[in-house]
Amino acid sequence: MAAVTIRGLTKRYGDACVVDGLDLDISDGEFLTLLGPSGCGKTTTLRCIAGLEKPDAGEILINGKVVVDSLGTFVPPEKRGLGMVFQSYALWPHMTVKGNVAYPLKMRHTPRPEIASRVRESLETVGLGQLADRSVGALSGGQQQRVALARALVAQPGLVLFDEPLSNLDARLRASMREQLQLLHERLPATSVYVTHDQIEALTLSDRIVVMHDGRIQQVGTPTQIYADPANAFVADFVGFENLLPGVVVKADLDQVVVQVDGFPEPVSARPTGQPPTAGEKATVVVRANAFSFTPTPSVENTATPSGVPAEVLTAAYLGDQAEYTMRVGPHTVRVRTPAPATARPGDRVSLVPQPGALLAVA
Amino acid sequence: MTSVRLFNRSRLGIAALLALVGILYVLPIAMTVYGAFRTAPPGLPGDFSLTGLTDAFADSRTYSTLGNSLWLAVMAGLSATALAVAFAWIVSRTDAALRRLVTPLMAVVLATPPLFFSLAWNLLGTPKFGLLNEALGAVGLPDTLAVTGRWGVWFVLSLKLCSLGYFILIGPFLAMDRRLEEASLIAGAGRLKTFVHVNVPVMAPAVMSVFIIAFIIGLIVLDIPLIIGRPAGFQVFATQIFDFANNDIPPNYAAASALAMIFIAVVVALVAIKWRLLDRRQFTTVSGKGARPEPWDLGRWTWLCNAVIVVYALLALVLPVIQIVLGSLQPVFGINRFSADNFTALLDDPQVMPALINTAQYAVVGGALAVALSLLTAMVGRHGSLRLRRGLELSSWLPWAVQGIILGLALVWTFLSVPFLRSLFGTVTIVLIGLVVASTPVAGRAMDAALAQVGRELEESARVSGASSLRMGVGIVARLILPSCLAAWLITAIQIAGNFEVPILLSRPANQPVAVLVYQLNVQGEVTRAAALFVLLLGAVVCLALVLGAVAWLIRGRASSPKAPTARAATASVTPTVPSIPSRPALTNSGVE
Ligand SMILES: Nc1ncnc2c1ncn2[C@@H]1O[C@H](COP(=O)(O)OP(=O)(O)OP(=O)(O)O)[C@@H](O)[C@H]1O
Ligand SMILES: [Mg+2]
Repeated sequence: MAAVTIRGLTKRYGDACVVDGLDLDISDGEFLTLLGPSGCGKTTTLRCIAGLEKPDAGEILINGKVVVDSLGTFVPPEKRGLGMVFQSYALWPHMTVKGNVAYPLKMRHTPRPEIASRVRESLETVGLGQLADRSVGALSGGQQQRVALARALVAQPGLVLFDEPLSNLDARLRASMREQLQLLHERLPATSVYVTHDQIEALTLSDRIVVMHDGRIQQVGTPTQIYADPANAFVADFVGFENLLPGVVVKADLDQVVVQVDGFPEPVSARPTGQPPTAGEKATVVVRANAFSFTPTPSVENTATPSGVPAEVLTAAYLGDQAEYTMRVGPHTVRVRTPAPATARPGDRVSLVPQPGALLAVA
Repeated sequence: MTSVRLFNRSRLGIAALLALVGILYVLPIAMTVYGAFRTAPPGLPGDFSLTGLTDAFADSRTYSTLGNSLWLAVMAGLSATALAVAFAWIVSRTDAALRRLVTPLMAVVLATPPLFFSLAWNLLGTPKFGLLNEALGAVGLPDTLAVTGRWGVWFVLSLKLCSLGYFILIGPFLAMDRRLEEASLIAGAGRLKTFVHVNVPVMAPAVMSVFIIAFIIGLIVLDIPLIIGRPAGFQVFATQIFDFANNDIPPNYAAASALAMIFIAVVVALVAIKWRLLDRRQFTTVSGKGARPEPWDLGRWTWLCNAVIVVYALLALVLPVIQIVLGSLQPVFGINRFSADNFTALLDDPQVMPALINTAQYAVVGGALAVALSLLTAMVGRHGSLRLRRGLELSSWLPWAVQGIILGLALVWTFLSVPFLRSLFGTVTIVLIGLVVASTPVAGRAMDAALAQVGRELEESARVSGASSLRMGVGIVARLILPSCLAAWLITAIQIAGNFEVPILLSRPANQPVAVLVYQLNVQGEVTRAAALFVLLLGAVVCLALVLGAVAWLIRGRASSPKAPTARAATASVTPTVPSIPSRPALTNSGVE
């Protein structure tokens, strides 16, 4: 088991600052996920923890021991006692399944009989007991992935690093591997740092999620916090809020702010996530597509009912059990999803009503 | 396969191609075996007997030369492989400043004929008068360093073979997924253990093939032992065959063939071993899309890598070139009075001009023929059935069994024993055929590499748009790889121009190439005149290269297809190695990073 502390981690490639002053505390036994779009520095952060990359500044402590700092301390990867699953699996093609899994134990000078039993055990755990003597070239992608997993876990490292381990698998296999990983983590007392850009993976596996963008942390929180209370427009967008409506705060209370969204006829009130903004500040109102309902507007009046926003249907699509619309509200195109069947057609004028509490005001 | 109906429709064409390949590669081997059991020299009436075998194996020289050849093959194999691994590693895995020089340097060394290195090092390593010894003397060291005999041959051959090994290894080295090493580091192995447990075994098949090819060449090489080894009494297999066929009175062709047969058997065995090895262990190409070859930060050790590169460049290229040029300007070797006497004497020599013309013919026509033949077999192989492909693949290995002097010997038998071919003996044609056969391994590799770069989709789109297979072959593919063909032609031409092992037994004054004349001048002690003649040859080659380069540049300028392979790629891929093993998709799924 191992706690990890990262202070001011910075990594540059040439002029580009790929990781920019990252601070993070990972507690013992935690499953922490680094989530973010491609190129945001997740892999680089992970490789710095592993010792495969030397940071330009900052320090990392594993279990209270400094493994790298700006004074020149650098513990090489082989001395950090980690396990790691690579995106490409990186299985050694000249060894059998057993040889691959036994390798970390051999390098730790484990006695032979113990190696044999532990290799068998960990292959059983990932369900590959019967393939121990196969060459790794003769395995399917999912099987290779599980060998990589067994290899990373066999020496029972206190810290296991995962770099998008499921991204090469097809959707169904990915789902079942996700469940296996979850079960494994519950059984094994290891701290896990997991890199992904798949939010389902992040939400289902993690104790905490770190959302990154351009080498900086955008938000740290539990899956629920990230999913329900995104700290800013970037995180909201990334976790699937379809509608982001920029505006200005008109009035701010502790648990309610009123925002004038650009182009809306009237201000709307929304729940602030994180620090409540003050009046006059910019803010973005975010809302999920399925958090709306609408009622037809009598075409003569063309004004909003007290709680609704006037909108014009642009497109309507039937998605099986749901119907999806795009609607014009002022200068914005708003995405709306309701249970099927579709009740409006392109050209209709409607009054959009968000569910109570569905509008969030983010920085 | 329906993809090339033309080839299917005209089975005749394929049959003709197979027959041609058979005649060019299989017949010489068969004739060598035949010759080993004849009592009379080629072309004369005789009987079948075992005298050739008994002569060869009763001769005590045979065993000492066999021992010497094995020693040379193993030693040169080891050192060339070690050097090649070192250079491939420096280029693919370190940040040494000079690493970008290595590939061009190796390409030049690979293209330069062994005859050049033999001549140059023979001069360089002359006590007192060689450039090296003059330099040593000038700084007060003993000027008696002699590059000769056993160690001299080993040294020069290693320098030359290293370039071949480098081009076989550099691809796999660059393609090796760095994550394999990192996974080992994470697992708790240090760099040394990682190297031993991961890098070495993963690269083992490629390294093994380098060793086997170096071993085969070490076993059969003639020119370096003849010029550098023999004056000091170091005789090898090839020089022994040469002696039996050329210097014994009367020439003992049967004994020479008996020795040649041993060599052919050894090569066949080695190739079989190699195929078995590679069949079982198919991980030579461990590539991955995510594999970025990040260099190791060597810190203080970079200077060592740079020094290795500089020393190799000096020994394998710079010093030999300087020595040959200086030597050609010295009427008396080692006396620093420079003049163009050698050149004027050469131009007055009635043998020189015809030899130059012969060589030009051999190089230009032979190079074109070898490239055309290789292109044809590669195209048929690409579209033909699996069995056809296997057969052609095998035939690309056969030339390894009939190399150099053995090929010359085999052709003597073939042309003098087969009635209708006899009239060709002593003509330009026979030497041309020999040189074409000898240079197909090189041309074949170049064409395979060139074709591999032409995406299948390009061909298929041409066919879908209604082009017949012939039009497709000529119009699309040939046009796309034209620059590569020119590069292959150039390289093949250089190989042919510098080859004297094949023509030495085949040529009479009427059809002898410059390379043979260079050797003869050298044997007669006219070392500086030989150097001058070689400089003339080099000059001609450089002119040819410039012309071809200009043509290729013009073509590439016009047909600027993004998939058009560059001439440089072809140059870098001229490695007479095994047909590459397809990488396994399961191991190459490194995805996007
Ligand atoms: N060796 C390198 N040299 C230069 N730039 C690099 C290098 N490695 C990574 N980068 C750059 O650093 C940035 C972050 O890379 P990183 O691999 O950490 O991204 P990532 O978040 O893991 O992305 P992905 O989800 O695509 O794997 C990218 O813009 C990448 O181009
Ligand atoms: Mg990544």
